[in-house]
Amino acid sequence: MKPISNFSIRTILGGYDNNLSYIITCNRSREQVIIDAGIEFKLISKYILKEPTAILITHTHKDHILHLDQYAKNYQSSFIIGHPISADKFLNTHYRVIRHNEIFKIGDLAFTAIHTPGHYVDSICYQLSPALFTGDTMFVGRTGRVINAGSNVEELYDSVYNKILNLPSNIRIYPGHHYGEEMSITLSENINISLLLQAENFLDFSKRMDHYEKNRTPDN
Amino acid sequence: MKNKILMSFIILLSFSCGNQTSLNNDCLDCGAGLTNGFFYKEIVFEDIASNLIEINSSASVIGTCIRFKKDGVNFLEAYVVEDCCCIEFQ
Repeated sequence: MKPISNFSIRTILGGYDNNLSYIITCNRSREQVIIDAGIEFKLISKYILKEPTAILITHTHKDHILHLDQYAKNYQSSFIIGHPISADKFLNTHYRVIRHNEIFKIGDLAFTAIHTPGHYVDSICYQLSPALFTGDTMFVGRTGRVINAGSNVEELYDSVYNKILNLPSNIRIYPGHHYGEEMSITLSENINISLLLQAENFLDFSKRMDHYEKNRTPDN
Repeated sequence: MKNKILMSFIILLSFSCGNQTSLNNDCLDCGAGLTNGFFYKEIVFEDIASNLIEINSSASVIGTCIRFKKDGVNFLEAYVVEDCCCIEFQ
């Protein structure tokens, strides 16, 4: 059956490093969710109809939660949703932990959490079929990097190849930064343009990642 | 020609109705959402080993979908539902 689009996605670009946040609105109930809190509150708030039902955290690197205190202060009834590992970072907020494969419903929309450690230990992708909000696990043109504490290249391989790339190839990803030519892309198109998504196995992926890090320039 | 146009219209109409019926009947009635504090999931072994069955004895089959609330570790409420909120239609 053909998917029915019963929601809208507004993309907001800004923050520390071309961060991307998204506001998803259920067309029927008008309930909204925000993906990440890396964009200044005043840039987001003008698109919010009433208090958003939830703010979904893709991972807790500072640039993705930079303005969360301000969001929480202004939207006191909003749930803040993220991985249990990071619960201690959200003691003063309306925090709800979510685990791999758990689902929550907002209006007519059902979001599925996919735990995708690798770039960071608490990384979660949120699937609202046919959309996947990937945070820093996958960008347009490449995967996330594994250079910080809490990163793990084997886990990233597992998350990308055994979780994300097992989803239908027509799913469109909405990443946490605007690093590519486009802001959004389907999985199949992304595989075509990204060497990091064409590995034969983990060893091959690891070599490709090393090659990427040695040859990367500030704009890729 | 007229017949062809009429036939195309009927086919188009029946596709539209089919989709809408699935959405309305199956997805809007699947129970309370996040505003009421509920998550959904398929039962896994770890859930059976926790306090799930104490909360709801019918939630005992791995793979069955439940609507639930947790306090972080333990289940507070759990209800068996027919599917996991019709995610295939979203």
